Amino acid sequence: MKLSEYNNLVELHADGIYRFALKHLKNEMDAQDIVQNTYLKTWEKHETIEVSKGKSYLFTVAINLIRNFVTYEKRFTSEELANQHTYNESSSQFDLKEILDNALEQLPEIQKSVILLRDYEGYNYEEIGKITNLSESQVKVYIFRARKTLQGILKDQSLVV
Amino acid sequence: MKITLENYEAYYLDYIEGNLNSKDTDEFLSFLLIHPELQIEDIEFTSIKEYNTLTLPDTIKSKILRIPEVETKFSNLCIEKIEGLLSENENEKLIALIEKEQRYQYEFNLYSKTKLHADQSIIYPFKSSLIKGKKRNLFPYFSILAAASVVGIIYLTYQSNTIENKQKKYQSSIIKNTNKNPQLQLVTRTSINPTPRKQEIKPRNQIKQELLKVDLAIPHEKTINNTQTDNDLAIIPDSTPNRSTPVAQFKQNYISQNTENVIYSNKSLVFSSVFNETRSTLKELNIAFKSMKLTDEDKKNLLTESQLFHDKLSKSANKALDFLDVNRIKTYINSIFAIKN
Repeated sequence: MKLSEYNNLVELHADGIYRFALKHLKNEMDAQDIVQNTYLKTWEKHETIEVSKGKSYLFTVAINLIRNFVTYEKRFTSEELANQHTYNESSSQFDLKEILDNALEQLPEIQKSVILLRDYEGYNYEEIGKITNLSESQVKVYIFRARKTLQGILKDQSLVV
Repeated sequence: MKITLENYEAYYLDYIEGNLNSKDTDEFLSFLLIHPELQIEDIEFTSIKEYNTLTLPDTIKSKILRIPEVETKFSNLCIEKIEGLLSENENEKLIALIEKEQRYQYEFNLYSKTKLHADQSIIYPFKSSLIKGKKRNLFPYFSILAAASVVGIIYLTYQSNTIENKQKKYQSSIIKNTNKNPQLQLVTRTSINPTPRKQEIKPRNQIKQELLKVDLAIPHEKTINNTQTDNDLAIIPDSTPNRSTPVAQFKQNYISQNTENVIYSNKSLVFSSVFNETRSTLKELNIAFKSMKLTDEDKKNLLTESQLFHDKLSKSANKALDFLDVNRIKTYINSIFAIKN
């Protein structure tokens, strides 16, 4: 990958990775760190990365960083989750976007990743499989499970309403 | 609510068999109120408990058992529809199901809403910091500062020197011939115009007009006298001179064509020397910053201060540019930076 091609990847995908990280971490500063580290790692290997695989590489790095972040820094402590849950409940339950955001938070990390890659970035199952190191059928199962869970939460919320 | 379409049948059987406690019974009945279509027509719920030992007919059992299967299949169809995996036949089946029952339409609408959409207004704020190949040091800021400083210095130089220089230049070029032409009146340096102070600075057009007045003092019939002194600077005729004479015409043209050129060539000299000095200073500064191993916070503060300083200087420079010929100064700045780059 040439310098100009790397810079092009920044222009095209920095926002997408930022949104992706933000959805996972729910913290702007943490998401910004993820973007910066993602591009830093990509730059270190840019000479060996093919341009056509640049975007996939970026998301692969981002997902690994997010996983590490969540796992090792233990960001989501039970206390924080409890507080977050309280906050979510007290916020408007009638706004679809908010309900979906809250529902997304209840998904396991891997399901969240695959559905975000699918809906936000428009990747197909094969591409998502490469990025997340899963088989195509596993990706499909996770996406189906995620949508069922989301639909169930939406239904519960609408019943409450 | 813990009773859902996926697990309600277990509650159903427990309810029929009378194994539900009062809390679960209330919840189950609430569930049935929300989903009246799940109620079994042949059974009166109020009297079910009286028939604890009742064996359900096979038709009813099969009806109960079939529901989850249909639900699951329908869910899969909905998700496959969203994922774009449905064949034409399956699509038609799904549409038929949705049109057949309002419940299915409701379920399908909920599935449609599980498609997430990215908020495009959220953007990464430091994208430029990720771009490679451009120097990410403080030099660009100082280049702007340098340009602004130079313009400011030119402005001050122009105020203090240019008018006097121009007057001297044009006065020295005036032909003096006091002996041969009695009509002419000797004019000394102080009698023309004193050098304006900063507070008294005049617009360029006005200065030009005054220079032309000096030119009017030229005795057009005479030739240049090389013996002029500093004290004998100009001669003003008593009456309006004849502007059609060749010498007068030449001088008129010379003044109109070269006045600004001379002014700007002087400015250019000042500009170049100041710029070179500034550039060498900035080079040293740049090296110093590199060797200082600044922390991120220091860099941030430094950049903020630079930006404030730049804004301040820009305001001064803009004032100067208003007074001077904006386009020419800009062109000159651009040419200098083009050479530098």
